[in-house]
Order: sequence, then C-alpha cells, then structure tokens
Amino acid sequence: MLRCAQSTTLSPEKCSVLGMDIDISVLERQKALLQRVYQQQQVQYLQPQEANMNPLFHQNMSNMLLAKYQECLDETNLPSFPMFGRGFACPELTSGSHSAISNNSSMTKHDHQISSKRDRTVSNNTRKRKAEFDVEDDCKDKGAEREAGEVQSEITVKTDRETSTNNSSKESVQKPDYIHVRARRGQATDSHSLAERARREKISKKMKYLQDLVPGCHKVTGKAGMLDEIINYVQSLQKQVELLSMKLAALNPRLDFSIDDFFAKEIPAYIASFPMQLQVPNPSSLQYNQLQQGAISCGVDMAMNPSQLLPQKEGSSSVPITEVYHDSSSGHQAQVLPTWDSEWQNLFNVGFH
Amino acid sequence: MKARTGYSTSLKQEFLKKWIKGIRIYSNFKKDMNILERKKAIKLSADLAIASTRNASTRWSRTLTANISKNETNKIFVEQIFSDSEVIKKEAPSRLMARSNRIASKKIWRRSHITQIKARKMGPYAVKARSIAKKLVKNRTKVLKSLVPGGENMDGISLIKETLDYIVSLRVQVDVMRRLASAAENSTRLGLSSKCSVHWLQGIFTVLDHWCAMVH
Repeated sequence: MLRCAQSTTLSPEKCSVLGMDIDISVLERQKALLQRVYQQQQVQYLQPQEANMNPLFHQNMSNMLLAKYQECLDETNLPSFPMFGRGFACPELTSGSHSAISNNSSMTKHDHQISSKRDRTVSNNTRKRKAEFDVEDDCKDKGAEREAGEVQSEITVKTDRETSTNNSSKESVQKPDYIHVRARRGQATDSHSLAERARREKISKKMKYLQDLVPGCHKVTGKAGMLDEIINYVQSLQKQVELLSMKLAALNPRLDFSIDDFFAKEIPAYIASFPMQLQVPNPSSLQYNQLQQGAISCGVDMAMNPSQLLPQKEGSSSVPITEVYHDSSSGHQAQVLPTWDSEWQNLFNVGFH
Repeated sequence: MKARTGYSTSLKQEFLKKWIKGIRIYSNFKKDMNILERKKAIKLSADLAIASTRNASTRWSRTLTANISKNETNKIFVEQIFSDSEVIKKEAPSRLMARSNRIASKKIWRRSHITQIKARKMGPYAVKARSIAKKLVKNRTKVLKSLVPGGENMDGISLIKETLDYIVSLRVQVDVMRRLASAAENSTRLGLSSKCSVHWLQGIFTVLDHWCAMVH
C-alpha cells in the first residue's frame, strides 16, 4: 500500500529509483550528441523556423495565456487544470502538441513536412516568447522578487476565504505586481508553502520552454534529467563553436573575410525574368529547381534550407522539390557553376534593391 | 508573416556583420598570426558579436563582454569594436549577496520544517528519495551555472531564463559559423575567393526572406 502511495508521487522518486539507468542513458545520450554534432546539418535548418520572432505572435502568446487564466477564474469546479504542482510532466492538454514538437525537433526532413503548422507556431511561440522574455516576464519576475516579502499576507487572506469553497487549484495573474495563489484542497495554506509552490510552478513553466528548445529533451521528465540534457546541449554547442573557429582559422591563412563590393567588380548578367517570377507561384517551383542546383553546387547544406522552408506551401509543390534535390545531389556541380554565378547575382540584386 | 521568419535571419545577419568587423579589426592589429592566434581572434570576435546582439540586456551577454575585456590586450580591441556606444555594466555585487543571503536563510528554515512534516506523512523512504533527487538537481544546477556565463549568482528562475537566451544565441553563432566554414571550404575547392562567400551568405539570408515572403 505504501508503494502505491509512493508511486503516485512525482517523478523525482522514479529518477532516484532508476538512478543507475539514468547514468547509463546519459552516456548513451552523450554519444548520440556527439554523433549529432557531425550530422548537425539537418539541425541547422530547423533554425529559420524555430527562432521566429514577431510582436504579433508575442501578443498572441500572451493573449493565449491570459485567456487560459480567465478560464481558470471562471470555472471553479474544474479539477486539475494543469496549473499547479504537476512537476514537469507534460499535461494532457498540450501533450499532443508536445509530441508533434518532438517530431519537429528530431532531425528528419520528412517530419518537417508532416508536422502541422499549429505545432510549429506553438513551438515557435514558446521559443520566441522566451527569447523576448524581457517584455512580459519582467512584470512577472518583479512579482517573483516581491513575492516573498509582500504577497504572503495577501495569500493568507485569500486562501482563508477560498479553500473552503472550491477544490480546484488556480493561478491568476491579476496585476503584474502580485501572483495570487489559491491552495488546493487538503494542502497546506501556509504562506511559505504557497509561495514555494508558486515559485515551483514558474520554474516548471520555464522548463517546458526549455523542453521545446533543447532537442531530445521531451523524452525526459523531471528536473534532473532535463537539466542534464540542457547541460549536455550547452556543452556541445560551446564545443562546436571552438571547433568551427579552429576550422575557420585553418581554412583562412590570412583572415581575409572582407565585405568588399563584390558586385562592383563583377559584370552582372541580368536575367530580367527572375524578379518577375518570384511573384508567380507556378513557375516558382521551376525557379526553385534552378536555385537549388545553384545552391547545391556551392554547399549541400545550403540547399536544404529552402527545402525546409517550403513545406509550408501546398503539398504538391513539395514533392517536386525533394525530387529535384535528390536529382541534383547526384553531383553535376561543375556544369552548374557558370549558371549559378549569374543567378546568384540576380538574387542578390533582388535582395539588395 | 515576413517578419516572423525574418527575425532569426536578421539576428544572423547582425551577428555576421559584427563578427566580420571584429575579425577585420583584429587582423589590422596583428599581422601574420599563427593558427592558434587566428582561432582565438575568430572565437573572440564571435563571442563579442553574439553578446552584443543582446545589447547588454541579458546577464550572460554582459558577463561575457566583461570577461573578455578583463584581459588587457583585448580591452583595446573591445573598445575599438564598440566605439558605437555600448555600456558594459555589471550588477552591484552587494545587492546580490543580500538577496542570496535572505533566500538562504529562508531555505534553511523551510528545509528543517518541511522534512519533519514530510517524514511524518510519507515515511522515511520517500523523504530519502526526495532528498537524493534534490541533490541531483542541485549538482546539475551548479554545473549549469558554471557553463552559462554570469550564472553564478542567479537563482533558479533567472538561471533558466538566461540559459534559454544563451542557447538561442549559441545556436545562431554555430549556425553562421558553420555556414561560413562550409562556404569557405567550397570556395577554396572551387577556386573562388572568400570574399564572395561572405556576400553569398548574406545573400542567402535575404533570399530566404524573400522566399518566405512569397510563400506566405
């Protein structure tokens, strides 16, 4: 019986029970990470989609959250709206989107095409929201700092009134200054524990964002495992920076990365149709083929980026793209070289005018 | 819609520009560097560039810049790069110490009180398991603090925030560096100069923008 009671508690227990397993899996994960470093080309093309920022989306995200809070305020008897004390297990509501996000972050091309826009926007929103944290979270963080001091009296007053009436747990953000917290039934209404719970809730929310950001983190629940993944990821990124800077130093004996006026020297061969075709969707696939061929001749990884972005278009066009990619990757680079040169210049002109 | 995908590319462009500028300044300082010095120059400029994209709004960027400027030889270099006004500030340590002391004393009280209550409620095994888990978390938090620049004096919440931002910036850095490296590699293979590779990278970012605009 005691075991049953223990098994219903949160994951830290499971972590400790499976302590050995976690260590071994950490090693395996590190190996996988090292392998991933060498295959990172695919990962890098997630990035244009992932770190998307827009004030509009930020607004949407904050509206979404506020709407959620409003729901909590309105419904008094809805149990387990996943706001309190759920640790870091993904709540059922968002579990679907999380699994889709996990597909997203696993580094396969076709997953990208399959994954729905909604999931991408969710993950984008969360990631972007974190990157633009200083706008909204500052208010909440000020609340966190003052929470320890000022809120306790507020909390005790509110909880005395409300624990008697409802048996659900809610967290509402009424003002940016305070975080009003209601206690669950059967839990301590001590101001300390409430503040502690609010703080834990915050941390778990932020860990969820991290879960979306760090690849491979969605499999692990619980603070310790996720922290481990995060540490591995940060270490691998830092090592990559070192390696890449060494590689660049080796490739470039004179460090002559210069931003000259490249176009002033070259004589551009304008193909006037190029800028026009950019607006027409139908020949765009053709044009895209040329673009890909040009890009591939100068670096395979470059071409993958456009192909990653285009899945957002209608599905019919995505099929010829992958075919083209497979065709041109069979390597006729030398022939393509003169054509890509002029095409790139046209594209540059499109970009810079 | 264009702005949505444009943010990361504009971030990468900004980073690329600042990075190249830093490398150029460095190479004007010192001619004929050996490979290790070159690597150091590249890495230094990259770190400074990525930190400056945050405009000193995050802790890690401030600490990174401050750490680089600590070295005397780098200081001149840094000042040259940031001749266009960037304030490198660090929080007053006294305020942080006071806050962490307050937090620490509260934690001690809470720990002593709560373990008693929980021992009564849950039995000894659960308490021990929970404390092991807490120890794990604490150790890993310590490691994370050592990894993220400036993470030493931060509490859990802000540490996670900073980590998020730092991860995003690191990714941008790695992405741009990798592209430049592959471009340089291909250009040497195809016999082109590296000048066009930088432009080519910039062009890629704008082309992607245009494609996205067209798609949406």
